[in-house]
Amino acid sequence: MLTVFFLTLRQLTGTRRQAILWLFAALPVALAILIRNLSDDYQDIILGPTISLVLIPIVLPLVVAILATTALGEDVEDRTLSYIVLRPVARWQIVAAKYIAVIVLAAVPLLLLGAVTAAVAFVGDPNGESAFDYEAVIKPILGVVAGLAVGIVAYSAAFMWLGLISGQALGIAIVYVFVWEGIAAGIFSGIRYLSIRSYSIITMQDIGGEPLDTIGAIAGSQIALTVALWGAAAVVVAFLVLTLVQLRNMDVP
Amino acid sequence: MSTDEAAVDNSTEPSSDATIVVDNVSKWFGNVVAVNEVSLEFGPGITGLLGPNGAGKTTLLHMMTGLSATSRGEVRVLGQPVRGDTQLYRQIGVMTEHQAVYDFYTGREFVELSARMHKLDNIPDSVQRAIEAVNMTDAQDRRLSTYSRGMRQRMRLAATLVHDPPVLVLDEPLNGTDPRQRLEFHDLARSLASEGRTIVVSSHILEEVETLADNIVLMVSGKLAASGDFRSIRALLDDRPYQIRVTSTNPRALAGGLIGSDAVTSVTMEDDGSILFLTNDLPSLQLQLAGVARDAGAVLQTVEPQDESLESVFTYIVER
Repeated sequence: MLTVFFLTLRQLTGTRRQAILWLFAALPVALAILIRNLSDDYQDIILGPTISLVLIPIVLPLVVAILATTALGEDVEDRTLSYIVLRPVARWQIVAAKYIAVIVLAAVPLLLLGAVTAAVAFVGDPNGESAFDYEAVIKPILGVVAGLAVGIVAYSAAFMWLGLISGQALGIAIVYVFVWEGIAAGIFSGIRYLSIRSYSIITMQDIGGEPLDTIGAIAGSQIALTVALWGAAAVVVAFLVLTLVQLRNMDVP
Repeated sequence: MSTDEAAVDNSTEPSSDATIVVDNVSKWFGNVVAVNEVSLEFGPGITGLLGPNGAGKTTLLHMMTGLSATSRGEVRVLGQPVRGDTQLYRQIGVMTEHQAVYDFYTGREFVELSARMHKLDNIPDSVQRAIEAVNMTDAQDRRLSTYSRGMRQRMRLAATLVHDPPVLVLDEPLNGTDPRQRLEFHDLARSLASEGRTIVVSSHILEEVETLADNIVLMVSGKLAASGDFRSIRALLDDRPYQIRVTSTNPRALAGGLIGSDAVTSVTMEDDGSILFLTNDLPSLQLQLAGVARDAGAVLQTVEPQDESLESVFTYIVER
């Protein structure tokens, strides 16, 4: 399993792909720094447009999609999947190794730069709290990190499966994110129960506490944390099982 | 095996030394039948799987190695159903036709990757042995992206051999190799076969397998056309009639002069003015053609064999 894990890390850490991912993940940080320097009301603006409208709905799913759809999808596309499946490695180990590799590679830029984005908003906040005040600074940063982590693990499972079943996985992922989680969830409130974005926001808000209330209000996600976590867990299990079944039953090119 | 014995064997009872048993296997994609009710056995030694492009060789090999599911029938390797049993790959080495590799690895790292997935006890020694077997020691530390196609094929072969499998399935292994590399591959394959391994090598080039395989299996249009030792199949091929198209300044005189010849089976005047001769004795026809043309004062413009493609040769065997 470790061999497949490290192989996947090598596959997904091409210079160009990593440059795109890190630039993409750094976008909210740049926005946050810009806003903090330009506006006195910077905290609300960072929490609103930057985290609620850029980091969570765009940067998080797209960074994960770029990695997860290629984790198995690239093996299928360039016909190298046979180098793995023709070895005495259990299919579940292949799926697990690929999945963990995607999470690791997505987590490093997203959690690091997500935390920095939150820190720009909360460290030395306008209310005069100390830089390391737990409730006003540390807790909301942890909330942002936790929410992103939930999004990473759930999106990774879903998009990795998508990469295995479709050559157009990245496009489908983008359509899912913008149409289902964006437009449809805005029209039909029940979709929040079936939205990874909602799970991520609820986790972020619940763990981050009062300073992150703005995020939940903007996103309109008001489901309970337990529902969000169970929902995310269900997404992970369901899509990993689907990936495993597909890998076992598919004709490998 | 005589010529008559070089026929399709559809028996499903495996012989005692059969390593790979293909039992009434079919594969279809929608309405397209890629492999149609093929039953085969492969035992120790080298077997060439021959057929024109699109004959179903790769689809059959994919089912034999568990990469693809059968639509009907079953493939057993070493007595076990091959599909879904990942531990069986400790006994099988498979080299697919696709030449894609992980370009970011060196040749040695690529072979090591395979060794690690097999959890071999002594990875450095196994890797070195496999690389030496394909004569790639000097280039082993170069990145695969810098390799020629032939070098990539050899390193892929090393990765296939690294766990010393008793069964080898190699799909078009000589693609991209030069004549010297082909000779080296032949020597290596014979050496491996002499140790009692079962080796299946596919190719669409008859001559490529002619000097390599003890037995050959011919596939055409998804069906098993013939199987047996190479001489028997070759005899079938040598018996086939040839089609020769001739254009000249006086086609009627040529056709009239040769129509009663023993060397000619039939003569057809084509709409474009050419003549189509069917013959079982090509050398005699060529001699007589020159003589008749000279006597008739006709100039021979083109003399072209019409059925030299491998597909037409194999089709002849199927229709025979």
